[in-house]
Amino acid sequence: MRIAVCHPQTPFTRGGAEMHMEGLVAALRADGHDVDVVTMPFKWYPPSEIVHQMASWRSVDLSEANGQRIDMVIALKFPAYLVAHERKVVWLIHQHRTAYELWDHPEYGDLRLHEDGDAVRDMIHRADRAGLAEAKRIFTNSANVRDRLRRSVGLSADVLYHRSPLCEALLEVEPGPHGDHVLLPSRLEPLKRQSLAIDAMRHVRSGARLVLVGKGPGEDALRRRVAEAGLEDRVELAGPVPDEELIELYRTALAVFYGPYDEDYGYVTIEAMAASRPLVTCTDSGGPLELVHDGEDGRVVAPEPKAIAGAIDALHQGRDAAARMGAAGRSLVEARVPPWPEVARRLLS
Amino acid sequence: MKVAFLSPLPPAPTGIAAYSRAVLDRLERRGIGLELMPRAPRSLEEAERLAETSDLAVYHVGNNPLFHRHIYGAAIRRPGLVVLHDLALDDLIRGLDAASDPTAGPARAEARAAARALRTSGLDVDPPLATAWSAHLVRRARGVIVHAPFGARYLEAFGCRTPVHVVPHPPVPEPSGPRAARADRRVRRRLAGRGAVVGVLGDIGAAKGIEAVLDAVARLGQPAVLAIVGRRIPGFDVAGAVGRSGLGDRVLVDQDVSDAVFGAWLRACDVVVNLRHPHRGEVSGTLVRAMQAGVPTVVSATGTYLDLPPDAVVRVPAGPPDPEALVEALGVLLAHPARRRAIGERAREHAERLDREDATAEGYARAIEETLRIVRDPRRPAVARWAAALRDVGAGDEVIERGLGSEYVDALTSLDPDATT
Repeated sequence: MRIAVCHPQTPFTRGGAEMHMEGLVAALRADGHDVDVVTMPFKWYPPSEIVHQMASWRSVDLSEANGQRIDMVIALKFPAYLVAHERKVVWLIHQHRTAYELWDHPEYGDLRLHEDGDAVRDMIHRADRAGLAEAKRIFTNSANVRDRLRRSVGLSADVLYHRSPLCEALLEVEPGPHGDHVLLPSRLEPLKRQSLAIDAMRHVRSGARLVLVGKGPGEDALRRRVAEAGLEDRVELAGPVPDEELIELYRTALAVFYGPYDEDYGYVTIEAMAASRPLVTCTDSGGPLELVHDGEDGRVVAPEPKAIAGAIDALHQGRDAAARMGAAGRSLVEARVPPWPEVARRLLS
Repeated sequence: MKVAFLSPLPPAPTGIAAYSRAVLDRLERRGIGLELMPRAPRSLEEAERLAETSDLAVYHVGNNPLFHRHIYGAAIRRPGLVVLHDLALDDLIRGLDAASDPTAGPARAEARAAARALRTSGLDVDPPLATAWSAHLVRRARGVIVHAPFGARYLEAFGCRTPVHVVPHPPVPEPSGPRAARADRRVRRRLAGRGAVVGVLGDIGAAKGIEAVLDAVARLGQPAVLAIVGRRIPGFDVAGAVGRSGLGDRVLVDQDVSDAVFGAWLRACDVVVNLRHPHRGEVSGTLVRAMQAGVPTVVSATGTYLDLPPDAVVRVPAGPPDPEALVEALGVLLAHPARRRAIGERAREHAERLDREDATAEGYARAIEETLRIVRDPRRPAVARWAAALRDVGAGDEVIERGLGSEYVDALTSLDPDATT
């Protein structure tokens, strides 16, 4: 089949969504399909730009290319899933969150602050109801995203997990010893709440250290926060690191902390589990809660620095428990998160 | 340039066929510098092929699925100039639904959305018009012809932005020669020795208020007779209604008559009653003929009837026909021949003025020219595509009024299509 994978791209930004798209394209090609990516630069401010982008995706003709029919489109994100095609499958990473669950969030809700925000939000809701409902099938990358979809526009979907490239690589290697560092690999931005982990380190009594990997718009603020707390010797902002180094950081970590606010899915969760590391997450973290069970394959604590510190100290002092939880997590990923060939088969079924 | 003219055509038993023949004759006489290709397509494929091979297609859309299903389908798929003969189109959409036609779904969805706009518009309409069944069709069209200003007001009320042209009904040629003479003799024989004649002519159905007219004639002081003449409509028991009225042989029913006989009855009437409830936004062909013949008419004060010169007809209140109001109106007319003549004369003058000005042919020529200009505008496909995309993603009036998403179209429409650079 000739398949167009539709994916809006925020220029100069690379994250889980891009890896998701690349993994999908590779899997479909490996399955023998002719696959290409259709993308447009995504910009969500001011709100008028959102309207323009929605109409742009909608006006694209993907019925054929170069005189040859396009058999199917797979759309991953807003507003790409508004594209029209007779065989459209949506594998939803997320909707435009500030028009939904983040609309009135005091810190993350930016759309409502604009004069036209309410009109654009209503339009997004109408567009989602029509553009998603016309899809032949809707998958979501997590139960959290599925539940949001049902709550927001009343549409049902099937959950389809997938593995990140690092997750697959980590499943190929033997787990290492449990060291002293707690790893937090993620884009440095408010929704990922690295600040919560830094604040927790003020209360950690054991010899555990925190290693933040990644870059992003929140980097300067996080560096200031570390300095102000006098945590330079216990918190490291390592910046972006090569995959080989990140794999080693996973393999030898004491644990992985991942406590974003209402995450869609979260590669960090499955990567920590693939590395046989216990994952510490928070009760309001969304996607990670679908896989992490407190005390079995990780810890689920309140989004409060002291609670997080307590979990880290307990793991530092109980290495056997950390190892047991890590092993359980790896088994869970192997059982519940299908490899890409299986994902491709289900998407095209 | 070629213009496909897709319509039922004579001898199809529908008023739209006769209308189209009259329009074509008028256009031929006037000359519009275009090659007109009149066809009554027998399939959707044929209708689409005709539209595809012409520069513009004129689609005559009425409410009967038997005559208009394929024309409607082609009008949706290959937009052109739509002549909207019935503003409601409810039976047509139901017919499409029954035939599992894919155009029925969008028509229903858009009708519901447009009905909301209609409710807030303040335009008072009867139930068949309250759901804007024509909304999808007219949005797709590049131009719309309606027969009366009321049609334009109705389309505007539910948010139609397609250019609308009001083109009056053409004069209906009255049969002449031996056949017409025979018809006149036949009708005169039936009316010999009778008093004044009140007529209800056209489709003999419930919307004509026939029961109320029967009631009113029974209560009249004058010994008038009532002639009920026209096409039989399944579901309406005219014999039962006449029987219940107690008028006996004061009612003459002549159903499914030839055009010549129909015209003879019309000319024989002293007054024609032409009521509508519910009103569907149509312009009555019978009314046009009565006005041409100078026969005074009593009409409902609603919809398209309100567009007629006030001194050329007698209006009775809109809504379910009220026998009392009819008694009053008919009583005055039958008792005062001079008044009948005056109203008839005004009506005839109105019809003759439209004829003299060749209003139908001129209106069609302007509408075709304007629609061709739109269709051939190189900016139009891009604007239309963008507009469709905006609509698909839920851009309603509020979004458009705020200027959201319209920058591209604004820029495009500010370009001069005739610029050489």
